[in-house]
This record gives sequence, C-alpha cells and structure tokens, in this order.
Amino acid sequence: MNNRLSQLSSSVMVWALCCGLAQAAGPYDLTIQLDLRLTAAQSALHSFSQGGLGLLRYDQSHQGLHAGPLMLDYSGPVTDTLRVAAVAFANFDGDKNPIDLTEAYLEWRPVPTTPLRWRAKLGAFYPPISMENRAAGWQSLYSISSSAINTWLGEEVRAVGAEGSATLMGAALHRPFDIGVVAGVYGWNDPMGVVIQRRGWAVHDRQTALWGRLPDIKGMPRADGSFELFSEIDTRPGFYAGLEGSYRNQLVVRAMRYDNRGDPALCNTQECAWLSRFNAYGARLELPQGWTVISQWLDGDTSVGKSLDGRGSHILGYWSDFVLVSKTVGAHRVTARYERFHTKTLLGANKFNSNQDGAAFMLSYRYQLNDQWQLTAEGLKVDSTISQRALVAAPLDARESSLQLLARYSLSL
Amino acid sequence: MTRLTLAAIGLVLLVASNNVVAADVQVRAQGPDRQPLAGLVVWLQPQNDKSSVAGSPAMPAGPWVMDQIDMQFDPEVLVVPVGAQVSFPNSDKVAHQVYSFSPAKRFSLGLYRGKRYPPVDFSKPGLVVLGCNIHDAMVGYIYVAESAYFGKSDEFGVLQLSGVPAGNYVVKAWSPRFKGEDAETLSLITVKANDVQVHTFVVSSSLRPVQPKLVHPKGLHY
Repeated sequence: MNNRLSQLSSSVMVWALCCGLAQAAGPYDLTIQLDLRLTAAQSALHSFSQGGLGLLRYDQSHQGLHAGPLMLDYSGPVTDTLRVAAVAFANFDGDKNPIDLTEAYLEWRPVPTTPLRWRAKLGAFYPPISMENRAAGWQSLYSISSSAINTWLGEEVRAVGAEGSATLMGAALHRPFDIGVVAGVYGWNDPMGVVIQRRGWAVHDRQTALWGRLPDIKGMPRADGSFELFSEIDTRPGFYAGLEGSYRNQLVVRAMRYDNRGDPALCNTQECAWLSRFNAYGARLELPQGWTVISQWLDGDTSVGKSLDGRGSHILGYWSDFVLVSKTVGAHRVTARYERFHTKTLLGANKFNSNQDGAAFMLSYRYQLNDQWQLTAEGLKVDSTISQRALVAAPLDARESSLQLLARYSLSL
Repeated sequence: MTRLTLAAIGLVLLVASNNVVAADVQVRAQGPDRQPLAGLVVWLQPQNDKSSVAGSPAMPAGPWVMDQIDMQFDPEVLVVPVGAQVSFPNSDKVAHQVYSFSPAKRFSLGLYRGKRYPPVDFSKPGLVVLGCNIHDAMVGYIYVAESAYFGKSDEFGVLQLSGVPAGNYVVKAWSPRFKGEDAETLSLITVKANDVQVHTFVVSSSLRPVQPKLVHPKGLHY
C-alpha cells in the first residue's frame, strides 16, 4: 500500500465505513478480543519480530507477562445478500500503525435458488487455503501458533482484489458431497516472497496488517529496515484458482494454484516485485468423538532480479507440510502438530545463499472457560538450520522452544 | 336439564365416539438389512378421505419449531402436517439467514438472530431442504406430510401413532439417508375401530451410511 494510504486514519475510516454501512442493515457480529500472555522462550536468537533469525514470536528478551494483541472482527449486512467484514489487530509491538486492518472486504452471497451457489468478494482477504485458521480474526481454532504454512500466509500473503466461487451443493441434489471452484484476481502483493527468501519459514500467530510491516533481518546485506508487503509495483494482477470438495461435512479437501505474476525485474523505492507461485493442498477430517485431523502441503518458488528470460536472477524453492491431530471433549481441546519446512536457493546462490531446513512440534491444551474466557497452554519446539544465519554471525543450527500461557477475553456483540 | 348438563353429556358422547373409532398403530421400521431404522419419517396418508389432514380437528396443532443451535438446524429433520406454521428461532450468537429453494416451499429469512420472523406457512406436501446463506455446512429438512398421523422412528426404529381414525391408509416413509427426495410407499393398512396394531415395515430404498454425530467446535467462526 502506498504512503498516502498508510495512515492509521485510513484504517479507522474503513472500519467506520464498514460498521456504519452494516449497522443500518441489520444484525452484525462483532468480536472484541484481548490476550494476556505469559511467555517463556529458550532460543539463542532474536525473534524475527525483532529483526532476528529466530523463528518464534517472542524471544528470550521478550519473556514474561504481556498484554496483546487486541483483535476486532466485524461482519454485518449491507443488504440482504451483501455483507461487509473487517478484522483489525493491535499487536503492541511497535508496528507502523498501533492498530491496523488485516482483512476488509465486501462479500456478496446471493440466496441460492438452484443447487449452484455463487459467492463473490471484493477487498483485502486471505485466499481460501488454511484449514486451521477458522476462529475469529483468521486465528487458529486449535492452538496459539499456526503451522509454518499458515504463519507464512499470515505474514506475506493477502489478496487485494476480487474472488468468485461457485459450489454445487450436494444436499439439494440429495448427494453427500459438495464440489466447488474458486478463483481470484488481485494486486498489491508483489513483495510476497521476500520474507521466505531472507528469513525462511517461521511458526507463530502474528499476521501482517495491510499497512503494517515486518522487520528485515538486522545485520544482513541490503537490510532496509522493514518489509512492506502489500504494495503494487508492476501493475500486473496475480491470480489463484482452486477446487474444494467436501463429503458429508466430515472431509474437506482443497487444491489451489497461486501465482502473483510479479515482474521480478521491477522495484519501487522500497520493495522489489517477486514472482511467487505455489501449489497448496489441504485436507481436514472430522471424526466422531471430537477428533479432527488436518494436513496441508504447500510447494512453490519465488524469484527476483532482472534476467534475460524474465524469470528472475535469484530463485528460491520452498515447501512445507504438517499434520495436526486434535481432540475435543466438552470445553477441553488437546492438539498436537508436527511439521517440516524447507527452502533452497535454486539460482543466484553466489549472490545470496538462502537455505532452510527445519521441523517443529507443537502441543497445546485449550479450555473454554465460558463465552468470554479461553485459556490456552502451548508448548512449541522448533529445530532449524538456516544458512544465512552465518551472515549475522549466528550459529546455523538452532533449537528453539517456547511455552505460552494465554488468557483470551472475547466479547461478542 | 340445564344447558350446561346437556353440553357435558354431549362432550362425553363426543369423546366416547372418538374412542370408539380411534386406534393405536405402532410402526416398527427396519432397514434393508432388517435392523431397526432410526429417524425414519413415517406418515399414514388417508387413502381416500383427506378430511383428516389440513384444517381438520385431528391435525396436530404444533407448535412447530426448527431451531438453529451450534450452527446446526435442530432438529435436523422436522415432520409437520400440511398447513403447519413453522417458526425458525436462531439460538446461536451469530446471525443466520435461512432459505430453501425446494419446490414444496421457497422462502428466505433475511439475516437475523433470536426470534425476528413470524412462523412460515408450509402448505404444500413434500420435502423442504433448508440451508443457511452464511454457513453453507448447515443443512436441515422439513418433511411436510399429507397426514395428521406422522412422526419419526426412535432409536429402536419404533414410532407410536395414537388416535388414528378407522380407515384405509397408505403408509409412506422418507429419510435423509434416502438417495433422493421421493418417499417410499411401505404398505397399505386398514385401521379398524379400537384396534391396537403393530406393523413391521422393511424399507427397500438403499440407504446412505449413518451420519456420525460430530462435535461442533467451540470458537468456530469461518
């Protein structure tokens, strides 16, 4: 987003417009949520959130009790079939704006008159990839941190544009499954790829706001302070296209092709355009007795720099996968997640060699005390090797772990 | 005799005459595998005389309620007689938008919470598939039966129908486990005055597997 828009007032205005439009039309859903966290971390590295090459949100110098983030999730009708939705976070971590939007969009849902249901979105939103970020504010339903894949989506990926989808609804046809297609056209996501190239995958729950920043790696060559990820540089729209199938609400499977069609030869004064493309797959299985199994896999590449073939002078390949198993009994939920992640410089390693290999294990216990209070304890262990740690005189291998105790207060209006 | 006494005698005679003609019919439903079939919608459709359906004193009065709890229709299947007025309260904290485009009833209730709308009239017989325009995973069914004598079989496959007037009836059935909306005709029965009948019906329609009861995750938003 350009500088003129990157003002707190923009967020507030969009927010006020959304709420004002919707309140006139009928019932709205508003969730206001504040976290209180007690964090203990074991890591020799500074967190990425402090410009380090550590993969946890809170490093050893940011342990203890802290308030935040504050989250607001709003959705309400404009007309009977048009809704407006917006999510804002205040992370209290020195981001550019004290509170900023992560999503804001209009959604058109015409009331189906045939088994084919249509939907359209316009605005800034997440492409439908994550299988675990199903709670208010696109947060994980199962734990504090998201998997590396969905952490990355929260950091770097946002569609600012339009999405349309069509779903053949099985219930109306007396079939046990739904089949749908979804496609999106978007801009303002040209720098996507820079974070995974310079730092690699991470495991946390911080989402980059639309006018927000992520710090660049301090001490690394060409470090320019921070990444501004939602910018349009090449005026070339990106696209995504995917399929979704579900069986009796028990099994949901998704496959998507994502291509931001960035022109790697172009840069503006702050960021360069990256050509980022990936395939994403996911499945979620709901079983009796409160069991859920989720798996996702994402595999792609990103490139930057002028080249004769337009493909970029520096190319990075990346993939990650995870399996999550969760069991809920009444107000209690226990979740375990194991994941692997990997990046590899495929071209241009002589100029900047960025490689990462890692795995993470997460165990979480969540207790819904009542409608307002949710308590979570999460243990996270991340083992990783990152070649570019050598550039900041840090050991390549790191074994990081954290324990977070979270008391989350939610007010739903 | 006073008018009051005459009225009392009349009432007693009326009740007595009803008792004379009415019968109890117990339905025992079995699947093609001969195992008890739960949740089967069964109704006794009068073969000739339809006076016992809509508007007749025998028509159950309701109230008919299709609630929305934990982002699910509750009950999943509601059986009502033709002409029933069904209310659609929303007991969830999130707003829902109930609709149907089934030929038996096309309607849409704009986004709401609580009890915003008056009951909806279901005047055509047949199956009405319900959806929520906000939460696509929500699916519910209202079966509008052309009968005053209907119900769903319990977990043992049993349905007790009381006060059935003497006459000939077509016994019909439908289940969300059927692979279509067509009802199956199970049998023709003749109900006689003061009968206590027990019928075992075997459904021949092939059935989908039982939908397991899934836990609604707390905090689910999307």
